[in-house]
Amino acid sequence: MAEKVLNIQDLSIWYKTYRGMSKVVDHIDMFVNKGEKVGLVGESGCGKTTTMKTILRVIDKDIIHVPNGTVEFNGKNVLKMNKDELLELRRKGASMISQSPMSALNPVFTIGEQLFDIIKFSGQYPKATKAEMIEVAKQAITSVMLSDPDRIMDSYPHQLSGGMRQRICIASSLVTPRDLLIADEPCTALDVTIQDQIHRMLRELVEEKGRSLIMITHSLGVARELVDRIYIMYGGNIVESCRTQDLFDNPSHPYTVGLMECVPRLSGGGLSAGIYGYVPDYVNPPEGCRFCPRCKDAKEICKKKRPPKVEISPEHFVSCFKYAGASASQSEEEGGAEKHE
Amino acid sequence: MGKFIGKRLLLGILVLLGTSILIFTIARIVPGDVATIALGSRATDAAKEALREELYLNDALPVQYLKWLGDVLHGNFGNSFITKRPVMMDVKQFLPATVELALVAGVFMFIGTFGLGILAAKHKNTWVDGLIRILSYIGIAIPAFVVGILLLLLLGYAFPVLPVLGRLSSDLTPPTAITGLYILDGLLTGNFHVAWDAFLHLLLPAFALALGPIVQDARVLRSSMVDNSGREYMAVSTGYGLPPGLLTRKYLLKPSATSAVTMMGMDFSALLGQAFLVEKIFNWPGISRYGINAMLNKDLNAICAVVLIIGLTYFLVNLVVDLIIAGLDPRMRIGGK
Repeated sequence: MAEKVLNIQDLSIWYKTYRGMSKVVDHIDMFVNKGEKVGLVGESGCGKTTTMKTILRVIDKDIIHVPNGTVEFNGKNVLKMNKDELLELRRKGASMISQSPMSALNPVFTIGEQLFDIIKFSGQYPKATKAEMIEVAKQAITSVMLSDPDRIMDSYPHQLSGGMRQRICIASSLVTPRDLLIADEPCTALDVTIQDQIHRMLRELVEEKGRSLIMITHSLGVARELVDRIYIMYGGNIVESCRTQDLFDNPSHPYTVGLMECVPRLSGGGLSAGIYGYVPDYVNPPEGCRFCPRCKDAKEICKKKRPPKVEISPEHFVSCFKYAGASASQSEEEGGAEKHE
Repeated sequence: MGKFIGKRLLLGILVLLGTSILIFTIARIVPGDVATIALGSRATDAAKEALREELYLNDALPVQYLKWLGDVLHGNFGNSFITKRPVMMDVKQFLPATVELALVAGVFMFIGTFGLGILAAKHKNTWVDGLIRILSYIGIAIPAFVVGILLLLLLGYAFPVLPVLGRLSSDLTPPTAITGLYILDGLLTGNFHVAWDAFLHLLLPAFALALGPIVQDARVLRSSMVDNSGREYMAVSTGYGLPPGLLTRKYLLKPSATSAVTMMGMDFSALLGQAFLVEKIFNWPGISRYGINAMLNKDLNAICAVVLIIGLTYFLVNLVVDLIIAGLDPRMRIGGK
């Protein structure tokens, strides 16, 4: 079957804190095929961004610890890469659109200068002259629906609005496309009309140029429109993963069900009750299922043991005891996703 | 930018005027008769009266000030009570020595601060960082004149590799005065031997002056670099595969440099006034030593001149620092376009 661009297996990521290890990301499996659009959905603080930043190794090694797991990019383990391989990965392999446009741009350099360095060092325009690279940068700015690229090239980040900065962040990732684009909630500060166009651009990038996309989002609606498969993350675990349509037809994990109920409907009906409680404390996480304290269907066993990963229908995995009995053939080790390839 | 400089210049003139009023008033209301202080108690009444006339002492204080200010604006600070020469002549003789010393110390400060600061930030929480931290504590704790004495004992006496006294070896004649800075004058007149000798004489006192500021400012630079290295934009730039050297030197250093540059500016202006002990130790014929001697001997005209020169220096250096900071950080360019 399809070739895997990214394959994360059994990955845990801990933050070093004064209180001890904060075990944020906990034994997750995830993969992205070539030419595939994958969604990653979950509450803030559930480890989405941490996982994504680990793919590019941009979190200071002083503050995180990876006790187990592998992150394979095009077959190579990112966690064991040397400096040159890492540079190659960042220049040609993957890039990430940051979720915080207000702080993602360097405040003391003009947009033009920052874009220029990205283009120059990506190695994707080895023979271009300076003027040509500047032209490429201007096109990137135009492509995210910003008018007057000349003025923007000469502007400093503080002279632009939040929405403009966000689009610059998107432009700087799109200007030198990589095999995998990680979009970390790229449209939070944008008008819906522009969101739509950005989503269209992302889709084109994948469908026409054969790149892959990971879309991190809070919005199930966006995910439904844009991605092929969805991972639902809760408290550092992948609790459910399946084809997009399956998720909406048959949401299975209690957390996913709760999420679905939280989506306000245009047809009215008032606000939902939400999901009671907060994301867990990662320094002393629940011993069993991390969602257990907030789960309506929790049983005694959920407090004590980790739920197994169960394949309830083809390519539809749920980590929950609710389904453990029903399909005994599946086990939690040796992630079922592997077998399906 | 022109508007910004214009505003600063206007403000600077006001500050200098204020300083001049203050120091002039203090110099005139010191206990004792100014003429007696200047000429000694055995001077004749006629001589004292002549001096009173010269210093406008028979007028009301505001009138005295205005007349004195008029003279000062013409470059005339009156005569020194001690050297009996025009104060301006003394200043012309002593100021270049201190300016040269301060400039070389400033270059040391610049290189040392950025060198050590970047090194410590790059190797944060390793033994390199720890060593620089310990050096900093030592450097901050030891005053410049002790550093001077230690250097003098070590490199001038125990291992006599560097000259320790004065501006030039006694067998050399100073180069023709163009700027008054021996190194520069030596180079300009083609006396490279003299320039080199003057440079060697500068090394120890300049280093003694620069050490404290270097280690202090390097700490400031280090901490703002470490602080900024955790910011989102650094992770983003790293993620685009920019070379690590460029990331540190450009994307991290520039936003981190402002506070260290501000401190360096203050340290540099302070050199002129505070170089006294170091000038004394190295027998450096500088303005700082001249100023302190003037104060100890109630040489009122000289005191006024030295204080105004120091005030002017602070103002100019701060102006330059503000311009550098506006260049470093676009968010500081207030009032400009």
